Amino acid sequence: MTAYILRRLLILPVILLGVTFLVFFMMQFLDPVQRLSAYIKSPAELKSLSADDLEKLVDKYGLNKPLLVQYFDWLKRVLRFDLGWSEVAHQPVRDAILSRFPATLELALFAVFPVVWGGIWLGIISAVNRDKPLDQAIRIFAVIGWSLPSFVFGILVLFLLYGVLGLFPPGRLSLWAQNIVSSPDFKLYTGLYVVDGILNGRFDVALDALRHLVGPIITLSYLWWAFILRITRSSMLEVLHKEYIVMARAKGVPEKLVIHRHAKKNALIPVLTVAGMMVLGLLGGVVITETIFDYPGIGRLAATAAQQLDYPLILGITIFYAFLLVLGNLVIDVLYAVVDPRVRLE
Amino acid sequence: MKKLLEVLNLKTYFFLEEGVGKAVDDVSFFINEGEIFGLVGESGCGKSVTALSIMRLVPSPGKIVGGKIIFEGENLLEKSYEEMRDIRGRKISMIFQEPMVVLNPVYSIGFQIAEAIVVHYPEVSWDEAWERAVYMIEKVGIPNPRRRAEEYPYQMSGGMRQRAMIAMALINNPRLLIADEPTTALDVTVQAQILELMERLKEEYKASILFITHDLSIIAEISHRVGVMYGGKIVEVGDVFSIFDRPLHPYTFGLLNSMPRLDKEEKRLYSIPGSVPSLLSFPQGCRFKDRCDKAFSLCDKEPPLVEVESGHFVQCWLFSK
Repeated sequence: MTAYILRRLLILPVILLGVTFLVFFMMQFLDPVQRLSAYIKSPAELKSLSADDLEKLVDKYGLNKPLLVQYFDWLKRVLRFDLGWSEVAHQPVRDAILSRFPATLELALFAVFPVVWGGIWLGIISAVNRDKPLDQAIRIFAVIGWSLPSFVFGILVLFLLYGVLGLFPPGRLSLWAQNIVSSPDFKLYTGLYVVDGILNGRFDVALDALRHLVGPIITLSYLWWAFILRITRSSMLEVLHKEYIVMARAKGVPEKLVIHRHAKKNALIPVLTVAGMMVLGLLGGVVITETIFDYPGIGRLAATAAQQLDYPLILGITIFYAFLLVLGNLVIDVLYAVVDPRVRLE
Repeated sequence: MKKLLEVLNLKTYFFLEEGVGKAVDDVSFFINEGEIFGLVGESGCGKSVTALSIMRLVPSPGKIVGGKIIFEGENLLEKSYEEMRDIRGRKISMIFQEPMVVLNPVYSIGFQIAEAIVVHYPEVSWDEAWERAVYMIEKVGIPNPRRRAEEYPYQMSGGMRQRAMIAMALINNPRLLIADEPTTALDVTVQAQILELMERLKEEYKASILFITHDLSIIAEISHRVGVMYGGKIVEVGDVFSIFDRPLHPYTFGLLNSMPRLDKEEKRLYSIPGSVPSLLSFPQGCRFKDRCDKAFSLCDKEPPLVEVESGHFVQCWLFSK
């Protein structure tokens, strides 16, 4: 097992090199001045410059050197997470991403359980009650969720939970809580307001942060359930027809254990990939849901950057996603090995 | 001799969209204590469904629609789910044909054997169950049992897995072992080892065996009594000597003739003409009549099961007066 993880870790730098090269290659489609914006440290550097000075800047950052030299120069900057200045966020790209990430992380952490576990749970119930009314009901329910565009369902949730019931507001914090969080007495340990609220002994703040998470979580869960449910259900149905399931029953294993011990572990192997991708999707920010619920995460930042053609920020987020994806895949592969002994020795 | 299991007029039908498939139709036989009963027939004749019916594990859309299965004096068809679960794996165990697919790939061999103990005896601690599993693994002839117990099915050869499955089936000292083609997927040399192992353990654990196979040579070697199945019916049943020396039913006759023999020189091996009719299209009357060279007018009606000599029954009009 350790050897397997070590082997995977050794491949990691190679993949990252490939990924960064790909991003760099795509950057070459921009003209040098646009590319330049990914290098400069503050807008002051660009302002009141004549065409002549631009040439100097191109020179300064080596944008006329051979491609490979440029790549390694740029890679050094990437490794320092020095990605230029974002016009949209009015701060360096690094700070723009790092300041939004805790919000996305908090949403992702709280959404993972209902989204993934809920979908798997529904899928198993569906498979066990195959073609019975319960199965039909769950499937219809899920297909509706799958077919609804997120902006429709999101707005519906917002309307019901906030507009009608006034229970779960949009945003990340209420104004009064925001003031507490911004005050110097409140220490930001993690950037996750629920956790920080508890650590600071301000349970009212933690509760307020939680209330703001409910809407996005309900939206994400319902929209993504169908996907994970369908894979769990079909995988579970396939496994339930395997002979080792008959064997387990023939050995006198109670039906509950047949399903939750013998069938589930096998059925979850294909689900793992999808669930992992969903977690990565959550960590990368969910553009529409974040926008509807006015939630200041990475997804909304990415959307704004794209709308405003803020190249440095787009590139920064691309690299951030790439790293996330590579690391996430590593975690999924390790989980595979944990679940399936056949993977470990390959 | 005492009867351990008696199957009476068992009917297991499959309710398919195209019609009702009578996979097991009015089958009766019994197994004495300490006996190996061989059930033989071509594939699709209902052997496996008979076995699964005894376990009450017939897959949907199959259903047991009639008959009785008397085990230790009680009708298994009247048992509740929980009573039946308690019998499975403790009093009646089953081993299957394909050891490759019958063991759960994500649990170790030791886990799967120890689990068979714990589900029936919750008072046994996991460590003790594990020890007993290791002991049993050694008993079925797997070397290095302590290490092997930690291994997963994919790390073992077919023969090893079949041994592991036998260990799993015998761990609770069952009264009846149902073996559904246990050696079919194995090499001939491994086959012989497994058969010998089963016979030895049967003696040691004083169990009876219902041995299902299409291989007559295995039946001749190990069983005491034999039932020949065709088209969901037992067409002939008797002790192994009378079946092999004095086969009565034309189907049994054909089966025996299609065995290669060393003492007779033949240019070409005999084969029964035609193939087993599909579950949904059995002919009226005797189900073998379309392939039978001795068929005559009476065969359009269903023949009764008659006792021709003591303990030797046949279902054929040739022997009914």
